[in-house]
Amino acid sequence: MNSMADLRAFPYPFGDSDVYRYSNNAIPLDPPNPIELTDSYFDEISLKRELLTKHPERCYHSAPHTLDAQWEVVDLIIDNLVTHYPDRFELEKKDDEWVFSNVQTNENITFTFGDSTSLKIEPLDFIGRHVQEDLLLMMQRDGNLFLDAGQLCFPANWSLYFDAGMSFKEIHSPIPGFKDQSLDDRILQFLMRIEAGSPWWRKNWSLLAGNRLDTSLETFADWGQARKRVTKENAGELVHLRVEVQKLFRLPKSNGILFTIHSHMLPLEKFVQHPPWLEKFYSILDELPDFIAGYKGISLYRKQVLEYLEEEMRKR
Amino acid sequence: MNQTSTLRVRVRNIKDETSTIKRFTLESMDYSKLPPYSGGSHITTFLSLPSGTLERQYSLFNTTLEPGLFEIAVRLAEDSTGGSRFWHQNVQAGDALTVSFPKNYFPLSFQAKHHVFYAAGIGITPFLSMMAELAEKEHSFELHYAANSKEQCAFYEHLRTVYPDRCRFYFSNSEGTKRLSPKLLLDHRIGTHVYFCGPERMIEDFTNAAKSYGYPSFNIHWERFAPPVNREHKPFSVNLQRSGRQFEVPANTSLLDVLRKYGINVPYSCRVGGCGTCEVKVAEGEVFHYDSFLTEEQRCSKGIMLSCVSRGKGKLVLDL
Amino acid sequence: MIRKELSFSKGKRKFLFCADSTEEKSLHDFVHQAMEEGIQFDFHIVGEEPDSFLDMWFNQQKMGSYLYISGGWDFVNRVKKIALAAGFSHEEMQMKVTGPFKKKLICCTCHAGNPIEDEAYITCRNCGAELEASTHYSPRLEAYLGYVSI
Ligand code: HEM
Ligand code: FES
Ligand SMILES: [Zn+2]
Repeated sequence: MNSMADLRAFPYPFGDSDVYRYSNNAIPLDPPNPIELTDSYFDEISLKRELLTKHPERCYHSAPHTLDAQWEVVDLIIDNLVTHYPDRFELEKKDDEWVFSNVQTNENITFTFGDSTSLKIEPLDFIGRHVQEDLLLMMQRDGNLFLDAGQLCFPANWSLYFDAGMSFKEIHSPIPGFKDQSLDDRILQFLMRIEAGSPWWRKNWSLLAGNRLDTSLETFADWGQARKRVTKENAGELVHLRVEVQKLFRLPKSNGILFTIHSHMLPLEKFVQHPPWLEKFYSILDELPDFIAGYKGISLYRKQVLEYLEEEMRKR
Repeated sequence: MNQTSTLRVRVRNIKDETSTIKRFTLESMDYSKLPPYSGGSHITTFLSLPSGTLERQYSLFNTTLEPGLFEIAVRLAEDSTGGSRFWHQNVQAGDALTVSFPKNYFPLSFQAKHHVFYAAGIGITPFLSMMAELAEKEHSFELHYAANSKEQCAFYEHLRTVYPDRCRFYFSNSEGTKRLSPKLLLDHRIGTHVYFCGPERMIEDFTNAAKSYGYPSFNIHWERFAPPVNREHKPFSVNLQRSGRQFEVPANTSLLDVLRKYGINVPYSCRVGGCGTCEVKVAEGEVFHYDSFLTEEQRCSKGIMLSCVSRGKGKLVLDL
Repeated sequence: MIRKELSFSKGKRKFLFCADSTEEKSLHDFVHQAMEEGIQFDFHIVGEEPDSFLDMWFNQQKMGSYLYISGGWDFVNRVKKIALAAGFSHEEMQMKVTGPFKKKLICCTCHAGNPIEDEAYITCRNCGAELEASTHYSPRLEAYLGYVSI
């Protein structure tokens, strides 16, 4: 793919402001599709499957009471796959007997909908292996939302194994400033009010030294080293803007919430090809408060990236 | 509720449950299944009247054996100015209607060891789906249900047949039977969650009693439907308390847009009253809340509004 | 929640006081107050009793009961688990631990649990990673997260 096409497909994460702060930046999702297939579909699901096989304990977790909700996720995702990508996925239904076909991988899976013994793996794990997204299931229990199941191969430096079972606020407790002006309460309130039929989405951004999608907390000692190698000269190639497209769906039967995360990456050298993006990003990164830069893991090489961006701006 | 997508349904069947309560069975227009829902869910129905669209909320249930249907029960209110009268007098089998997706503001507790439902009159309706869900999951529950008489007791036969050992009925007009009393709350085992639905007074009595017996608020649940909203888009004016500036908000423009136009940088995201980002502090004045974000308590506290959809009446003073 | 000091909970119908043999005295003030206010109570100093005894005791209680647990770390956590399983919620109990807390730090690299007290840094006993203790807490694992630095 040429770089202009890369640029056009990339989910640019910034708004019109020159400053970035944590806020509830969610907007209604239309069309209401939890899944997006990109050119790297095949590579990414292959990588997901490999990680799931080698590291099940860090890539998958579920509590037993999530099975019904997991089936709702299967229903929602398959329905969208066959609707939006009819030449790549097929579904044949005879009552509860379903045959799901992934044309690209040449797989036909037969199962009885709702009967977990008819699949070799759990429903969420099964459907997650056909999409690029990470899939997290927040169950609403006793007036709060808990991360009770998830398939997570491409985390931005956090651990599903550790966070499993936590409430929304507990999960977000490591983020500095997230409680200011009760932002955490407001976002939780927003989530609790999400209704079936009216999904939402938002984008989150970060920088990554390197180009791995699987930046798990478990392997941080490995991939984190690249932060020390960033220079003004190599930043364009080495440093990537990492954007998570996150979508939120209320599951009407279980009253849970499906949270899908699609991680996109673009090397800075491609990102800067579009001058308005370059300028805006320079301003944002330059102004970014230390506590956010620190949390996002940029502090070690922010200076180098800013120097690189300055030089690019001078060239244009 | 601005952005909610809706469902088109057809009335399949109408049945008199009592002399004042009708049950409506709704099916999807294209004969597919309507979405499933969790116990305690309701829908908003949108009724087209000559005077405008009436929004009314009804608990959802399904007493038929066929999955994928919605049922609601509507009691003809004596002082009804619209909703229930329209349902009772105008809606016919075969009619097409618009309803919302199911939403749940009255969910079952997850960690309860035992669930106890207290219903009076039409207050039975949310419990129908809750009991169905618990029965399917084989969880422990009981129902205490008060009505004027057996004849006025909607779903009496249904409940007696489906949950024979778990229902107690209390009829106020017949001799000898016990009245429904909050004293029953004294006898529930540890780990019980209680749910109240009925007239305002009954909810208040039971809630107060439960608290006085030492129930944590965590274990007490009740359902009260939000009052219907009639959307009015009239112009109003705002005063900014701190800067002393004053603006007019025309009928077709949001407060958010006006504030931003004059350089007041209120943050926003969704613009449909769902994310809570565009909140502004209200110092004085009456607000029409048209968002789907703020809780009832937050609205009653009168201190805040969401500027992308909500509007003032006449004159508003903002703490800006 | 585990507290430094217990407080008398108002508006309850009955109290359950539960202590190990070393900590019974810490509850005496509350027993006294319950007697003065005429509130029903049970008092158990738990020694060798099996879990099934506590389980039965808790399961017989009605709503409006309130539980105090006082004792060493292991004792308090054992009783708490049985009480939660019987239906008590965190809103219906207070706990006080005497003596050392047994905290656990999960290694972010290998998931091993490491016992800690107040150290800011430890070495993972399983993989040898240098771990920095954090306040990120998992109720499921009953442990804090230990991060590695690069
Ligand atoms: C409901 C499902 C959600 C889940 C499971 C989830 C999970 C997470 C996790 C695991 C982290 C990393 C925390 C860590 O460092 O340990 C995170 C970060 C964050 N989350 Fe969420 N989140 C959810 C929804 C949201 C929503 C709706 C918002 C809305 C505004 C949000 C805002 C953030 C922010 C601002 C960060 C910091 C990201 C950064 O600076 O790069 N989250 N989230
Ligand atoms: S901008 Fe989302 S509620 Fe107003
Ligand atoms: Zn380790």
